[in-house]
Amino acid sequence: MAIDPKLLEDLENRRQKAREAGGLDKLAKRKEKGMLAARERLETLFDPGTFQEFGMHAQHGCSAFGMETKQLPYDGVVCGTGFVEGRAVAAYSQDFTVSGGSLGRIHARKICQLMDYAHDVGIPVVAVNDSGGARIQEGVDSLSGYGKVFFKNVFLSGVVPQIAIIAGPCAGGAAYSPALMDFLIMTEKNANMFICGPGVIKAATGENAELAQFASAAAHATVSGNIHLVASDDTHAMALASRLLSYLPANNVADPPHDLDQPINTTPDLGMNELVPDNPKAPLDVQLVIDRLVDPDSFMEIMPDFAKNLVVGFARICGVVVGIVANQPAVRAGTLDIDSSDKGARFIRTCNIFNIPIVNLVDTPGFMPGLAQERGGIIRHGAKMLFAYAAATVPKITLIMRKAYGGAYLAMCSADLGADLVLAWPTAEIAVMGAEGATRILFGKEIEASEDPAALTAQLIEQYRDEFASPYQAAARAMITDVITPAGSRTRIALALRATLSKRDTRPPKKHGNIPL
Amino acid sequence: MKHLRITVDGKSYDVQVELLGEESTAVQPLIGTPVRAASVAAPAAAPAPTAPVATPSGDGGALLSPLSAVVVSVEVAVGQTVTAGQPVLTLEAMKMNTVVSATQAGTVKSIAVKAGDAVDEGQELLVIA
Repeated sequence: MAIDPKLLEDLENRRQKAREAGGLDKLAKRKEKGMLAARERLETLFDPGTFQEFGMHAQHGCSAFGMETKQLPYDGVVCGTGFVEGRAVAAYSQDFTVSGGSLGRIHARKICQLMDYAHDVGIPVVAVNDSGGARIQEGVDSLSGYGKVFFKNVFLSGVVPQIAIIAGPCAGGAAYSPALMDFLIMTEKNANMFICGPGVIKAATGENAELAQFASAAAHATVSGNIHLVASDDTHAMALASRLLSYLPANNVADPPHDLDQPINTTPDLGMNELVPDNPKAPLDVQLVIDRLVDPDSFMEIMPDFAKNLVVGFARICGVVVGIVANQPAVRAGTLDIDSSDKGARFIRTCNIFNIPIVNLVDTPGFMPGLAQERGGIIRHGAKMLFAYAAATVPKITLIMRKAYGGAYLAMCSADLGADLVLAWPTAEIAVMGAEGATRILFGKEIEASEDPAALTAQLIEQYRDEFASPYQAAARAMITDVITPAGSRTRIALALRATLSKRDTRPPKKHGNIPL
Repeated sequence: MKHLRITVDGKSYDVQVELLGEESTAVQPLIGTPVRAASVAAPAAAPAPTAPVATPSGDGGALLSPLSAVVVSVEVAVGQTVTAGQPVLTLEAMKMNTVVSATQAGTVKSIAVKAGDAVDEGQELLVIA
C-alpha cells in the first residue's frame, strides 16, 4: 500500500517547472550577464541542502488584462528558510524572469508571511531585491502589497536583523522596503535604486540625470549614503550578507555570537606605541589602530565609502563581538559633520538593538565649522550622536587617543553620556577647545600688549596645553577611568568587554525616545 | 476720575469718566501662533559635493581640496613625476594636518597654491596628467 507513484511524479513535475523559473531562455540570458537566478541566489546564501522553500506553488489571483491565462511560478518571489554558517535565516529572492519580478498581491503576501515567521521564531531576514516594481495589472492590490511589506519591515525593525540585497532594479516605492531594513548591500553592476528615474526627472524638472549619477551602487555608497556595502557580484553579495550575520544575534533578546572560549591576550602590543605620532598635528590613521586592537581580520567596516571621517564597523576583540566607532583624523581632520553624525548615530543604534558592545576611539578636534554645515542642520544631525549614545544601554567603552574637544568630546561618548569606562592615552587632549583658540580668548589683551606677541602666544599655548590639554585634568575630576599606554590598550579593552557583558541598564518605560531626525 | 474731551462732528463735549474698578479685559492669547520666519537668502554658491561619484578628486587629474584649510607645504614641483598614492601636499585645518595624495601616476602639470594659502573645499590644488 505505497503512495501512488503518479502523485509523486506530479509533484516532481511541478517542482521541475518551478526550477525553470520564468523560462530556460531567460535564465540562460541572465547567466550570460553574470547574474545568478533568484533560486541560485538563495542556494548560494544558505549552507548546501538546507534551503526549505515556502510557497513554491503559489499563484497570482489576477484575472484582468489577460492575466487569467498566465502562469507565474511562485508568483515571482522565491521564499524560504535555510542555515547560514549553521544558523537559521529566513530569506526571499525576487525573480526578474517571472513577470519582471513584479510585486502583486500574492507576491507581497508570501513576503509578509515569511517575515511573520521570522518574527515568530526570532531569526534574521535577508531580502534579495530584483524587481521591475508594482504589477500594473493588479492595480491597487499591488500598491497595498507594498504597504503591507513596509509595515512588516517596521514591525520587525529592532526585533530581528533585516538585510536587503539590491541585485537588480529597485525603483519607486520598492526602494523603501530596503531603506526600512538594517543593512543594504548592493551589487556594483546590474543594480539600480531610485525613487524617480531619469525619464521622470527630465519630464518633471528638465534636469538631465543619468542612472550612474544617482542610482548606482557607487552613487549610493559615496554620495547619498543609502547603502552600507558594495558587492562585486551576486555571489559576493551573499558572502557579505553571510559575514554580516556572523556578528549579529538571531534577534534582539539573544546575545551576538561571541567566542568567549578565546583567552585574553595580556601581552602588550608595543607596535601600537609606534603608531602614535609625536606631533599632535600629524594625522593618525585610525584604520591602523583598529587593525591592531581587534582580532586579526575580524574588522568588517560598514559604509566604508561614505563620511570617511568617521569609521564604523563590527569586529571581535579577544572573541567578543563589538561595534567600533572611530574618528578618522586622516580625513577631514576627523571632525564630526552632518554625514558622519548620521552614519555614526545609525550604527550606534544598530549595535544597541542587537546587544553589541560599543568601543569608541576618539581623536576629533570638534564639529566641522562652516556655513554649509550650520545651514544643513549640524545641530540637528550632531544631536543624533548624543541621543544615540545616551540612549544606548549596551556596554560602552571609550578610548580617548588624542584630541577630544568641546561638543565632539561629548558626542563621542564621554563618561557623562553614559560610557561605562573611559580610558585615555597620555597623548589625550580633553578640553573645551583647542589650545590656540583658548589662549587667544583667555589672554588676548596680554598678548596684544606684549612686546613680542608671537613668543608670548607660543609660551601661553604651551602652558595651556600642559595644564589643560592633557588627560590628567579630566582624570583629576574622575571623568576618566584610567590613563593607559597605547601598547596596553588591547588588553584593557578586552578585559573591560568581558567585565561589562553582564551589564543591565533599564530606562523608564515609554513608547520611544524622540531622536532628532 | 479722568477728564476727557470728545469731539463729534466738530462739536466738543467735556466729559468726566470715573473708573469704578480695574476689571480685567479679555486677552488675545499669543500662544499657538508662531512668528513667521523671514526668508533667508540661499548661499551664493552651492556647497561642493563631498564625494563626486567615481571621481573623488576632480576630473582630468585635478586634485581638489577635501576641506577648507591652509596650505602647509607643497611636496612636489611642476614637471616632477609622481606615483599614485604619493603625498603631494599638506593642508592644515582644525589643528590637524591633512595629507593630499596623488590619485594617479603621472607628471605634475600645474600647482595652483603655495604654502600659506587659504583654500576652500573643492578648490583645485594641482593637476597631474
